[in-house]
Amino acid sequence: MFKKLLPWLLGILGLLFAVGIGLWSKNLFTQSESVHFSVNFPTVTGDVAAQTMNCCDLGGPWARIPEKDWKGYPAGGVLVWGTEGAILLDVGQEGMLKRLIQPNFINLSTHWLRNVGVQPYQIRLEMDLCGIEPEWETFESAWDPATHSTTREINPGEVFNMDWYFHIPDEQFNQPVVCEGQLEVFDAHQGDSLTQLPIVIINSRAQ
Amino acid sequence: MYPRLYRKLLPNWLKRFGFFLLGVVMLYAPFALLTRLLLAITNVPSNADVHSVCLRMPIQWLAQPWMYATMFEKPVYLVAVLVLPVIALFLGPLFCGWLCPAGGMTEYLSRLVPPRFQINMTGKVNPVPIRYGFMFGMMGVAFIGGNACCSFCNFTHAQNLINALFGNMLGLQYWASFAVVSFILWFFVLGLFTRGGRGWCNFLCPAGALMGFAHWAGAKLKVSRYVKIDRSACNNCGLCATYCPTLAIQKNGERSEVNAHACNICMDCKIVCPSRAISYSAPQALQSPAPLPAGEPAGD
Repeated sequence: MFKKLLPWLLGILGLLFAVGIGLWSKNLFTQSESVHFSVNFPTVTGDVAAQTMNCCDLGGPWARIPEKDWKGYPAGGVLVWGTEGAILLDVGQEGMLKRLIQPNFINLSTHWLRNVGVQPYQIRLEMDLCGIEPEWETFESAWDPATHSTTREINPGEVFNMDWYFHIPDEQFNQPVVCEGQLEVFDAHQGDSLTQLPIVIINSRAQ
Repeated sequence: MYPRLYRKLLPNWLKRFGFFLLGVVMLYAPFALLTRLLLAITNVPSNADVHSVCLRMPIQWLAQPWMYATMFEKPVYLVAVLVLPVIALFLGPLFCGWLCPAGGMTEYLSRLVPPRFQINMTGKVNPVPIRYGFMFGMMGVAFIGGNACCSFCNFTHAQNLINALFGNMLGLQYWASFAVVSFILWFFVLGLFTRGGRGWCNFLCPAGALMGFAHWAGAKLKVSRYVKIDRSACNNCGLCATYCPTLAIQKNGERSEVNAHACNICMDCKIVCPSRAISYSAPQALQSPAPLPAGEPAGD
């Protein structure tokens, strides 16, 4: 009996292990150590709301939203625990291992800088992290690191990706509000702002 | 493990090492020659490294029908869920045993560690259900917002180590908690300090699980070449099981069996077999659960 059950028990063990580490790392991916978020552009062009595709034109995960519930795109942040349209990162929620080895070294990441508009854009990015100079890294080949601009047009529905790695100075790290910065996406040709995404870094452990 | 047989195995190890180096040149930055070719053919504007042809995310997407369009828009994603499983269906998981640098790296480095310091799981645990369980868990946890796919990626660690060899240290400078845990598990606990060095592949690799399933299905459908033991020639000495890095050979009473779900066709078993009872040969039916006739592997 036990011999017959053993493979099933081992299978459940493997499944639970995957679920356990998946949920554990979810918190670190969305709250503290390596925060992954999405950015939708354009949400504004100048002062007016931009023309965008609807959820069902765009497809992908968006198509799961019933059209009657569709409220349009936030500036981003869908994956994070802050409100939509903002990124909230709490370095006080870092895991024990991270706190032991390099608590000040943080990663922000978007694999979903998505053009939800109706025309192609070549974009330029500005990351304001309160004077902290991040290291920029992307999987994309069409990127000019000198100007922080794409060298290809991003077609409607397509995505771009970017990672930022940065060290927070100790004195700043130990403040309750570490930084109130933002990511801004520009049309690289016209210079218009296409969207802004506030990035707030807090430390819930700071006294 | 008997190091006296290492000399006998050396030609096969050197041959496979050459293929693993080829795997690095084909798939890993700074070379990634095959990846560059695939990206150029499919018009994907991405830097070429191991992430460009991800072997994990597409498996997670198998449970997410709304991602199928993405896979067909960027056909490089089909390598994980179509190309490699189809090769495994007919020839077995040759990618795992002969090309995958992430698996090869820990397997070869584990040979530098004296066996007395290594965990020996031979005959003690069947890795197959755990690996399938992990694969389904990785697919399932995505539905509740979790991520076991990217957080536990050994391919990233292998790429970071290769990057470091070529002067790009960023991957070894930044560590998230889950990356520390997965690196320790992949490289040390299930790698260097597990006999055979393939613990991660055996228990936690979803790509290996999918190819293992395809290999088993191919054997079941009589279309796959697979490793089999000729029972009339086998003296049941157990050397094949001792040297199998994937725990695919189990000594079962008076006979040894090859588990098609776990075998990666490395052929070490064939080389150490003193009675030349093991071969990698043409399609033949798998029968189960009844006792197997001579020459047929178990696993179903």
